[in-house]
Amino acid sequence: MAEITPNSVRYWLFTTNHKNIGILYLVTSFYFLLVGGALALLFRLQLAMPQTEILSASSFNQAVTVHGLVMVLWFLSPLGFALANYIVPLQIGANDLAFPRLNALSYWLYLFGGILAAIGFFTPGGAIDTGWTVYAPLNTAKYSPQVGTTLGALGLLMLIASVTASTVNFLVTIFKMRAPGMRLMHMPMYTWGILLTVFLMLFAFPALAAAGLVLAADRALGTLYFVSQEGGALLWDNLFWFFGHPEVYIVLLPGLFAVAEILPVFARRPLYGKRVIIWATVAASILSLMVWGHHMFTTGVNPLWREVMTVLTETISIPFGVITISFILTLVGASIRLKTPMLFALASLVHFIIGGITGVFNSSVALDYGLRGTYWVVGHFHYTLLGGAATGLIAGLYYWWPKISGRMYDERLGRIHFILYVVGYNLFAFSIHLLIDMPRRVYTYPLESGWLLNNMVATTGALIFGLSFLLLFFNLYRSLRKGAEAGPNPWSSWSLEWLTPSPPPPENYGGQPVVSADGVISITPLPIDGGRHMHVNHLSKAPMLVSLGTFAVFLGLALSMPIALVGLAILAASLIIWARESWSSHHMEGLEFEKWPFQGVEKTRLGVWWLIFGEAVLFSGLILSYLWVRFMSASWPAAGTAFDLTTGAANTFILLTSSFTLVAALAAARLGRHSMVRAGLLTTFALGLVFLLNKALEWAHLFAEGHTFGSSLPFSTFYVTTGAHGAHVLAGLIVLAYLIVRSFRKTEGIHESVESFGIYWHFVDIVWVFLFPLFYLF
Amino acid sequence: MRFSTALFVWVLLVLATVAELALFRTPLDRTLFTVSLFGLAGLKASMIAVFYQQVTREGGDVAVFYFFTLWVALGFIIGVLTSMSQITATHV
Repeated sequence: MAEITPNSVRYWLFTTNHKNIGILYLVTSFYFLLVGGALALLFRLQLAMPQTEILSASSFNQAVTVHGLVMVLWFLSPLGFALANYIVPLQIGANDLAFPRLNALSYWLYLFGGILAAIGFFTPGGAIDTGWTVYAPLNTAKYSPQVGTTLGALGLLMLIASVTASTVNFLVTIFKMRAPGMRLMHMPMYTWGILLTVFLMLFAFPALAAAGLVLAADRALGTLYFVSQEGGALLWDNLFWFFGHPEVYIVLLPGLFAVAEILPVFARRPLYGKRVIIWATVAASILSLMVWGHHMFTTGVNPLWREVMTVLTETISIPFGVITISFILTLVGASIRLKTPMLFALASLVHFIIGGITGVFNSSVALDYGLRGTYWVVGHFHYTLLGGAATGLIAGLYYWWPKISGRMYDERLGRIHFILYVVGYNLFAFSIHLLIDMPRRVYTYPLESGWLLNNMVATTGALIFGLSFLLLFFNLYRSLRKGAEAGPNPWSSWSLEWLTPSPPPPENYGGQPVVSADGVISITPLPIDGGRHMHVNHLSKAPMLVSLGTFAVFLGLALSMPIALVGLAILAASLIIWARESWSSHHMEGLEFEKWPFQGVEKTRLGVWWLIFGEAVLFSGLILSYLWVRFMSASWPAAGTAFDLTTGAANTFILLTSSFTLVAALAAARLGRHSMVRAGLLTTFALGLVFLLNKALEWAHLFAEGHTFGSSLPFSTFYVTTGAHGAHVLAGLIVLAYLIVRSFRKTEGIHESVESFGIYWHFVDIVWVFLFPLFYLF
Repeated sequence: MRFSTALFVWVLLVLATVAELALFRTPLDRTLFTVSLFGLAGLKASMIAVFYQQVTREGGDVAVFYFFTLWVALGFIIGVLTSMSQITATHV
C-alpha cells in the first residue's frame, strides 16, 4: 500500500500510527459530543418549562439514555484516550504503541460500536430507553421490547472489546516501551494518569462485559437472568456498579492528570508532592473497586454490608483531598500565567472540589435515602465528570493542541470560550444541584412543583455551555488555517514530548530519547539502519475490516441473520488478512537500563497476561451470576441430574490433556525439534476441537430434551457460562490454527509464540477446572 | 519445564479429577463436600498456573498481579454474595 498518501481517505481507514489514531479518536469523540449534547439540549428545553411536550415520554427516555451512554462511554473516555494515543508514546519516548494494529482495532470497534447503538433511533420503537444505567428489569424484553435496546447492548459489547484491546496495549506500552533511563517517577503525570486509568479499566470493564453478555443473551437468546425474580434487578445492580463506580475514576483520571500536567507548567514550579499524588491515586483506585455497594443503599441489601460500603466510600475522600491540596499548594505563591489551558485547569479543579464535597453527602446511608433518584445526584456527577473531568480534558486539548497541529490557537477566542463555558456550565450544574426534591427521569412536571426557576436557569446555562463548544471548534479550525507557528515548545514545558517538532515526525523523534538518573532528557542519534522508520506509517486494512465484520454480525443478530452471515464472512476474511500480513515490530521494544516492573517479560507475553487478568474478572462475573440465581432460587436440580456427568468429566480430561500436549510442544520448541512442535500443536488442536464437538453434542442433546435457553434458570446459566467458555476455546483454536500453519512455513520465533499462546490456553483450562464442579458436581 | 515434570503434573491433574468424581459418589456432609470439591479445583488450578503457565518463572511482578487479580475476582464474588444474605433470608 505504498501508493496511499496521507491525504487520501484510504490512508485514514488503514492507518495504525498512534498519532493518526489519536486524531481519529479526537474527531470521533467530538462527533459523539455533538450527538450527546444535542440530545441534552433537547430534553433540557423540554424541562425548562412545566408541562412541555417537545418530547414524548418515550422519546425523552431515549434521549436521556443515549445522552448518558454516549457522554460517558463514547465522548469522555475516548477524548482522554485521544490525547493518550497522541501524547503517551511521545511522553515516554516510544515511536508508537506496543501493538499498532490492535490500537487501530480499538478505534474501529469504538466507532462501529457507537454506530450500532445509534442505529436504534431508526428502528421501530426507537433507541435504548432504560436510562444510562440500563437497570433490570427495564432492560428486559418485557419493558423494552424494541430492537434498539438489543442494539444498544451489542454496541456496548463492541465498546468493551475496544476498551480491552486499548487496556492491554497501553499497559504493555508504558511498561515495555519507555525511553532508556526513564523511571516510574520520571514519567509525566498524564502518562501516570493513563497508566492508573487502564489498570482500573482492566478490572472494571470485565464486570460490564459479564453484564452485557448476560443481557445480550437474555434479549437475543431468551435466557432468564434479568427476567426472573431470582436474578432481576439486584444482579444487574451488582454487575453494573462493580464497573460503574471505577468508571467514574476511569473518566476522571485522564482529566485530573491533564490538570496535574498543566498546573506546574503555568505556575512555573514543580508539581507539589508528585509522588504523594500518585500513591493517593493508587489508593483511591483500589478503593474504587470496593465501593460499588453505595449505589445500592436503598435496595434492601445486608445492613452490615451497607455500613462497610459507607466507611470505604468516605475513605476515598482522603486520597482525593490529598490530591486537591497538592494541586493548591503547587499554586500558592506562584507566578501564574493565565493562558487558556491554565484557566480551564483551574476551573476543572474548582468544579472537582464542588463535585467531591457533594459526593461525601451521598456516601451517608441516611442522606442517600432522601437524595437518591433526585437532581441532586445528577448535579453531583455532572460536577465531577463534566465540570471536573471534561474541563480538565479541554484544558489538555488547548495545552497539547500546538503539539498536535503545529499551530497556536487564538488566545482571545480561547478566553471567551472559557468565560462562556464556565458561566454556562455553572448556571446549569448549580441550578440542578438545587433541585434537591425533583426526581430524575421524569419527562415533565407540574407548575405547582416550584421547580420552574431552577429548571429555566439550568436550561439557559446548558444552552450557553453547549454553544461555547462551537467557539472551541471555530478556534481550532481557524488555528489550522492561519494560526501562528507553535514551534516545538510554546509553553516552555519540561516533559519529553516538547523536545520534538510540532507536529512530530512520523517516527516521533530523530533519535533515541534517553533519560539520565537525575531526569535530564537528551536525544541520541540513531544509526541510519536503526529500523525505527519501518513501522510508523504501516497501513493495515485488517483492523477496520475486523470491526466491520463484528458490526455486521451483531447487527444481523439483532435484525436479520443473513446480515450476520455476511458479517461472519467479512470477519473470517479479515482475520486471514490479519494473519497473513507482513508485520514487523520487534524493533519497537524499549531498551531496559534499570530495574523496572515486568523486566524480562517479552511484550506479547505481557499482553497476554494482562488480557487473561481481565478475562478472569469476566468469568468471575459470569460465575457469580450463576451462583446468585442459584442461591436465590427456592429449588435447583440435584447435582448430576440436569447435566451429563460423563460428558463433563470427559471434557475435563480432554482439556487437561490439551494443556499437557501444548506444554510438550513448547518443550520441543525449546529443544528445536520442529516436527515434535507440530505434532504437539496438532494434538492440542484436535483435543480442543473434540472438546467443542463434545460440548455441541451435549447442547444438542439438551435441546432435543426441551431444555432450551429460556426453559429454566439452571439451563440459562449453563448455556451462557459454558457458552462463553466455549467461545474462548474457539478463539484459542483459531490462533492455534494460525500457529500450526506458521510452524510449517517458518520455525523462527515459534517458541515465543507457543509460550504466549500457552498462557491463554492454560487459562481457559483453569476456568473449566472450576466450571466442571460448579455445573456437574455441586 | 522438563517433559517428565509436565507428564507428572498431568497425572496429578487427572488423579485430582478422579478424586472429584469419587467425592461426588461419597456421602459427605454438604459443607465438607463443598470445601473438598472446590479445594481440589483450586489445587488443580494452582498446579496449572505454576507448572504449565509457569507464572513463578515470569518474575515477581506478574505473580503479584496474578494474585491481585485472584483477589479482585474472588472479592467480587464474595462481596456480591454477602450483600444478598438478608435478601435470601426474606425471599426464600
